[in-house]
Amino acid sequence: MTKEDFQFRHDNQSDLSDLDAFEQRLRSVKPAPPQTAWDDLPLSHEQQKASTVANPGTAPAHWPRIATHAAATLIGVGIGVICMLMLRPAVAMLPPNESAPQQVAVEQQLPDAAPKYTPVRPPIRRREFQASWPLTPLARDIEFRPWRRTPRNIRPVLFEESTSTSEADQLDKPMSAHELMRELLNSQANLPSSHNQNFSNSL
Amino acid sequence: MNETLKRLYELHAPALLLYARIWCRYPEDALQEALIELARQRKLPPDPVAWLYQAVRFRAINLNRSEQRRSRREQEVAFTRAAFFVSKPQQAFDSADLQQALQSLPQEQREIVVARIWGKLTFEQIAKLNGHSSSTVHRRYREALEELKQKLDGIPCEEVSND
Repeated sequence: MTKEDFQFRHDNQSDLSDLDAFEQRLRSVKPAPPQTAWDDLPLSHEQQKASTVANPGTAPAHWPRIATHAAATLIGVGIGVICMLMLRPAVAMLPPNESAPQQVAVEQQLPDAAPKYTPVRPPIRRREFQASWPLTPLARDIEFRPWRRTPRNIRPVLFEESTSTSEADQLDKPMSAHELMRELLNSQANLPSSHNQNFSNSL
Repeated sequence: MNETLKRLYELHAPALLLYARIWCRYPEDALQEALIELARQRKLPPDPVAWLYQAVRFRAINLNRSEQRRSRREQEVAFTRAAFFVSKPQQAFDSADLQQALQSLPQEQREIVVARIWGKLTFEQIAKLNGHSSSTVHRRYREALEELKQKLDGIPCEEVSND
């Protein structure tokens, strides 16, 4: 043992003995006792057992918290599902990408030695256009106000059933307002003179 | 079981309270919860004292989290009023000075000192509590003692040994 080793050990020993003494002095100071004695503990395990036995059907105190968490989770999942369902038709209405390269089965000519095989890929399933939702007039192919496409001067005019001498096929035939007026004037011109007199008086 | 618990409480409650004070302002709650947990065990653990220290540590850390939600002022009042040690006229240290010196230590060193000196746990048991090796615990314990000695006696250990 060298002199340094001896000195180191001696220093450590004195250090340890000094710390041991200090430790003993610390131990002599007692920590503060609890304010409640064992018999006066507010909720001892016996009381807790008694309360559990007295109310065997009651749920533990933390159950409402668990129930709240479960309800919040369910509501969140429900909202997520509804959002997904609402977004689904919008995605489905996107026009199919025609420019995408079509994948076609290619049959390769292989040498006889190699095993022949045909790489066939499953066909790409494209979602067909479905007009079930949303129910817009365009999607349902309902033509609102079809007369708008007809010019004003050739719009059909409906007639009431009359006892005039005009031919039935002429009445059914749609005519414009100018033609109708012309026909009326012609029919007036063909009537007898007394009738014309009454007509002019009524005007 | 009940008698064992009562004896454990009477023997170790002061040290356990001091141990719980490291983390929370209301150590009696932590101790009470740990005792209830021990009473729920079907079989007494092989080392009930070490088990209690572990349980008190866990409860005190949990209580500390919930205490953080309370008002800070309320916590300060509760903390300054609580006395860590019994005050007697002729004792080695003034209890208030010791409390102040203990509070000035880092939390890890404070835990080791309390568990070793007042809890009378072995270094292996303390190492299991805080998850370090027993040599690390021993080294930190010595550092903490030296720091405490310097604060309470005013003389560092090196100077004492040189004398």
